[in-house]
Amino acid sequence: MQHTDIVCPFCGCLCDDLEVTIKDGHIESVKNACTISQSKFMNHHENRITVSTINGKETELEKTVEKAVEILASARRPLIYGLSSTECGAISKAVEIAEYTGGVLDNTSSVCHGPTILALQQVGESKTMLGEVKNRADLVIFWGSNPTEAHLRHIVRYSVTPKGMYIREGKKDRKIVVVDVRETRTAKMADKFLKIDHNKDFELLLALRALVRGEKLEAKEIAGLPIEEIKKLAEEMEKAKFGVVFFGLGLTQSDGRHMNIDAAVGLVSELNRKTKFVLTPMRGHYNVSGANTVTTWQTGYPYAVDFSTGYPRYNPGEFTAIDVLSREEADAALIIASDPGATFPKDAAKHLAQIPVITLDQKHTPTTMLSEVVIPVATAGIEAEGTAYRMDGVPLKLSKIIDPIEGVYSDREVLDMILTGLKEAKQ
Amino acid sequence: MTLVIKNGYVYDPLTGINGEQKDIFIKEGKIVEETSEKDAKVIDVEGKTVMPGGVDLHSHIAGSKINIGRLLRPEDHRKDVVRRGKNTRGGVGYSCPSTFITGYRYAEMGYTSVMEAAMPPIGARHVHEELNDIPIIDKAAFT
Repeated sequence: MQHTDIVCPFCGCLCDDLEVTIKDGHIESVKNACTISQSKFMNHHENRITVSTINGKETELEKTVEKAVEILASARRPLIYGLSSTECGAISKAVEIAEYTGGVLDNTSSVCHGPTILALQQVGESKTMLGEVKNRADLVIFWGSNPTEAHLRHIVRYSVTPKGMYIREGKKDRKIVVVDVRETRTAKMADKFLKIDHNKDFELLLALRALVRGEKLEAKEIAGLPIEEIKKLAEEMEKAKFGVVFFGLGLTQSDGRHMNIDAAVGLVSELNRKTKFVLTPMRGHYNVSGANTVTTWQTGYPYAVDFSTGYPRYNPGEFTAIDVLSREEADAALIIASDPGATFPKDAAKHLAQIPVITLDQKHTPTTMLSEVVIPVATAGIEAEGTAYRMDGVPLKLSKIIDPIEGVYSDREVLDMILTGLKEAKQ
Repeated sequence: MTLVIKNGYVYDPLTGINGEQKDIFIKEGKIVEETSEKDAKVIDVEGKTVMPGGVDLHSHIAGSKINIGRLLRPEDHRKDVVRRGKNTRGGVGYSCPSTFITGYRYAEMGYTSVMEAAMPPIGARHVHEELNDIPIIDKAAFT
C-alpha cells in the first residue's frame, strides 16, 4: 500500500511530500525523504521498548500506569518535561497533568530556542513563512545554523535551490551567506562565508545595524572580520529585495543568548526601513514549535510554566527543567519524548537519577535507564496521528501509516490513562 | 424536558420586552407561551437578567495572531490570573486570554456564540485546535 503526502516527524522542516510504501504491516520504502528521515522511518522498529517496566521489571500496563499515578499523586513538585518530539494532543494532556498536579511544565525549547522567545517578548519579530522565502528571498543568511547537516531538505525545498514565483532561476537568483565560527558543510556551498570569532555575534550584529543606519565606525576589525568585509555585507543586505536570516543555536546558545537575538531583530528591523527583511529560527525537534504553541494557548506562556499556585506562572531560569532539577527541587518527573538523562548538565541529570522518574519513549535511552517507570509508546507520525507545527508556525497533520506493537499506545493515550488515574485517585 | 425560568428581568429586543419581570417556559428546546407540566424544572432567577444568548460576530479568539499576542504579553498575564477550579481549568485573562478562560468569560458575559473572523487557510488547523479548547460557547471561523 502506497501513502503519499506523508509528513516527516523528524526536524522542524516537517517535509510533507514523502511517499511511503507499506507491505505486510511494515515500511518497505520511503521516497523523497532525506537520509535522517529515511533512517527514522526504516529503523523505527529497532531498539524498541516493547513492554512497560517498573524498576526494570516487566509489568502489565495497567499496573505500570497505577505506579505512575501513585508517584505523581504523592509528589509535591513534579516536573513534566520534554514534548517536542510528539504530537499536539499529547502536549495538551501533559499541560493538564502539570496543572492537575500543581507541577512544573517545561519543554525542550528551554535548552534550544528559549532565548529566541525571550527576545521576541522584548522586541517582537519580523516573521515569515517558508513558502515566502522560496518565492521571494534573493538573499539568504544562515547565522549559526547548519542546514546541510541538521535540516537537510530546507535547502532544496525552501532556501537555496528551489525555483520560486520571483526567484525563477533558483540558486542563480539567490545569494547565500553563512556566518559561523567554523567552516560547516553549509558554509562550503555558500556564495559567501564569514568566519567569525567565538561569542562575538552580538558585536557583529550591532556593527551591521550601525552601518545600515549610516553610522561611521572607527573599529578596523569586529568579531575577527575586517571592517571592509562587514561594510560589504551591510551593503548586500540593503540591496536585497527580500532578505532572510535563518539562525540556529550558534546564536541562541553562545554568549549573549537572548541579547544576540535582540540584536538580530534590531538589525532586521533597521533593514526594513530600506527593504524587506525577515528572520526565522531553525527549530530542531519536529514539534518543538507545537510545544510552545499549545502551551501558549492553554496557559499564556510558551515554556517554563509553574502551576504550584493553582494558576500558571512563567519564569525561564527559575521554572525551566534544568534549574528545577539543579536546585534539587523536583521530587518526581514525567518525561515525554525526550532524553534529558543524556543531554542535561551534570547537576540536573544527577538529581534526575535520584528521584522517581516516569518516562514515555519508543526506544531505550539513558533516561529510560534511570527511570523507575518506563512505558513504551507509539511513534507519532508513523504509528499515531496528530498535529505538528513547522518551524515557521504552519500546522500539519501527522499520519498513522502502520499499527504500533500490540499493547502499545500513543503518548496521548498513555497520558490520558495517567490523568484519569490521578482524577480517580483523588475521589 | 420542560424548564421554567422564574422571576427574572427579561430583555428581548425582537418582541420589545424591556426589563419586565416575567417567567420563561421552555419545552423541548423551544420557548413556549406557558406550560402546565408539574414535573417541569424550575429555576428561580430573582434579581437577575434573562436575555437571548449574545452572538459576537467578529472576534479574534483563536489562531496564530492571537497566540502571538499571548506569547508577547507575559507581563499582562500576571495582572489577571485564574486558578484551576473544581471543574474548570486555570489560565490567564487581561489583554490576550488563554483559550479556557476565553470560553468561561464569554459565557459569564451572556454570550453563546462567538465567531473568529480571521482564519488564513494555511493556519486553519491551528484555529480549529484552539477553538476545540474554548469551552461552553459555540464557535466558528471565517476565512
